[in-house]
Amino acid sequence: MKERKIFDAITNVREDLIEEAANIKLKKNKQIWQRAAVLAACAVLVLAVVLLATILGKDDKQMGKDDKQTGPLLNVVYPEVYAFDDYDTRMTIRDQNPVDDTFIEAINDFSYRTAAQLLSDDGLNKSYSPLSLYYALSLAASGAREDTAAELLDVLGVKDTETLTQQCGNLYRMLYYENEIGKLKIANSIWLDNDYLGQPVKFEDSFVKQAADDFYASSHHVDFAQADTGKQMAAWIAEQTQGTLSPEIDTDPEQILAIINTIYFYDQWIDKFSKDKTAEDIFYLADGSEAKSDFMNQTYDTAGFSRGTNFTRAGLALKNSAQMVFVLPDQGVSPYDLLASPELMRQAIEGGDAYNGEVVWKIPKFNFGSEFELKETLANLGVERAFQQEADFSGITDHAAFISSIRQESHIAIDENGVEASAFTKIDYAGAALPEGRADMILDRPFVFAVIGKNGNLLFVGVCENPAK
Amino acid sequence: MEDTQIIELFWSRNESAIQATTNKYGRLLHSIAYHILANHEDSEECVNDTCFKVWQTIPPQKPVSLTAYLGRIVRNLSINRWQEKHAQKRFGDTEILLSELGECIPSNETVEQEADAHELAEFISEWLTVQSQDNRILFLRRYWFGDSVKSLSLQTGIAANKLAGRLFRLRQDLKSAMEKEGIRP
Repeated sequence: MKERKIFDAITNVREDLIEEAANIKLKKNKQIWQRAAVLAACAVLVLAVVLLATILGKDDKQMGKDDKQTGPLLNVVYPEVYAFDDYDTRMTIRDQNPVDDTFIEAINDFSYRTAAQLLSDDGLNKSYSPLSLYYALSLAASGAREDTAAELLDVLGVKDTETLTQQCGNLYRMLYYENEIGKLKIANSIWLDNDYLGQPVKFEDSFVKQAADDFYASSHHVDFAQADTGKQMAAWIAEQTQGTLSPEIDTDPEQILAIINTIYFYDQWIDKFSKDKTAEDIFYLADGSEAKSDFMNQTYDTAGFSRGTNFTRAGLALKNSAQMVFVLPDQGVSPYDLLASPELMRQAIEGGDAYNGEVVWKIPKFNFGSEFELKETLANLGVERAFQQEADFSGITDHAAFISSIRQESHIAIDENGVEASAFTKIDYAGAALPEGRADMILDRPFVFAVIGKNGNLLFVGVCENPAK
Repeated sequence: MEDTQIIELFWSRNESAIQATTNKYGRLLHSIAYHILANHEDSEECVNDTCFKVWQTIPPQKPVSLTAYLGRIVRNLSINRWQEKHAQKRFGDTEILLSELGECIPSNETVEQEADAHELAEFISEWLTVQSQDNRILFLRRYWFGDSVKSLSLQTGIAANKLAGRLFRLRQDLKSAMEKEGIRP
């Protein structure tokens, strides 16, 4: 077998070439975020299948084979963008789209409960977007009825679908921005197949319309039996995340519906890191080995930090009012000890005693992706019906359909960038309390990070195990 | 622990050499085996067999690169096991990987001379050295370490279809180089 011969020949290529490929990372795609400090993207894919028996049992003649359609069904018009320094518009949007504190708290509760399960010790870098999953599930919940809806609302922490859709819409408009500094875009889409093995499947117009109005979800007619459909969906994700993500999507002929949510975020540090101070150093991995990484360095004479049981935490502000926090476990403590339960995780990201003092930063640059299958996580939180054949999604379609899989893929990267605009480069700490010690945020061992939106929502949360991977 | 220290442990017949090897390279070796076998149990066995083989061969061997030495053994053990298991029906990522490599092979008509394994490895090494560093690493990450295109895409932030295109052009370039030199596997 000649393929085996070439496989063997590659096995025996020169050792220095193998060492090079083992130790030097491939160059990263820099085009997308040449000026960004933090870039994160993620996509959640919810797939629903329908039962053959339920279709064949229906006497639905009005939609025959000829009704088979593909292509865009309903496009959405996104909220208007405004300039970074357009303070008035920003305030108007905030006033016009009130988001209840209880809703923010519901999302954060959901975030910690799901993240504490997903961020488990498997030795890999991980990044998870709770908000992305929340939006995808909320869209599914808006078309669920009876017990299925009750279970989903319970896990989402909202009392009814009307409140859920209205608050999701307000939060969407409140968070959405795209300006010369950064971007936060949540995008949703629904993919519908109105033909199941030659039998018609009818979708509720009200669902499609509500998805567009409150979730800014575009709708697409597709044929899940065609291999090209997966490519179309992947292309949509790549477009929404500006090429950061390009997942492989396999569709199933038994599928009738897919819901996709993407979040694409980039922004710049208020205080840019100097590239001259970036230097290679050692990152100590959990298994006792070492990896080399480029570390960004910066010292703040006076800045806030927090100390809690087994951790020190400090944050770096981003220009569009979000911030990225880093949680450094004390020596000998695993990041997973801090993430062992939703309560401990909340404590690590929000809790501890606050201090003001010198903060010395040494942060490895990182750039990685991760994937999660989320069905089991939600099942552990009590979502059962939605995954069973008895599921009631009659708000979406009159045929029995249930969710067959939910998965998320994400990517996150940080570097030194920021804009040297003098108006934003210095935070004035005058009037702050006297320095109360010093925090050494020397992130040279596995640590926890989170990107927190301006409302306090967890946009992304993860663990960096090895920045060189 | 430094590689030289691990090799010294093997030379002094100290069994902690096995533990040190597993600590430092266990994950990498498992990953190489898993990319071929797509089965954690089989991969673990191949990693164990690799450690046993290393124990048998060092000494007298004194590898310059422990990564390459261990990686070659685990690749050989894994591909042999894969072929045994899939002699009748072939499937999975390894089939895709081998079929991609098949595209590099010139046909019997265009090239008459059959190169032996050593010559071919030397030829591919030389061909790799004239590639850009990024292409060289990409080729070896895919075909030596067995990383999937999707995982490479996640690592680099470059779209999978773009990476697949680059790998395709590299395979075509290797094929032309072999044709030009007049050798084939």
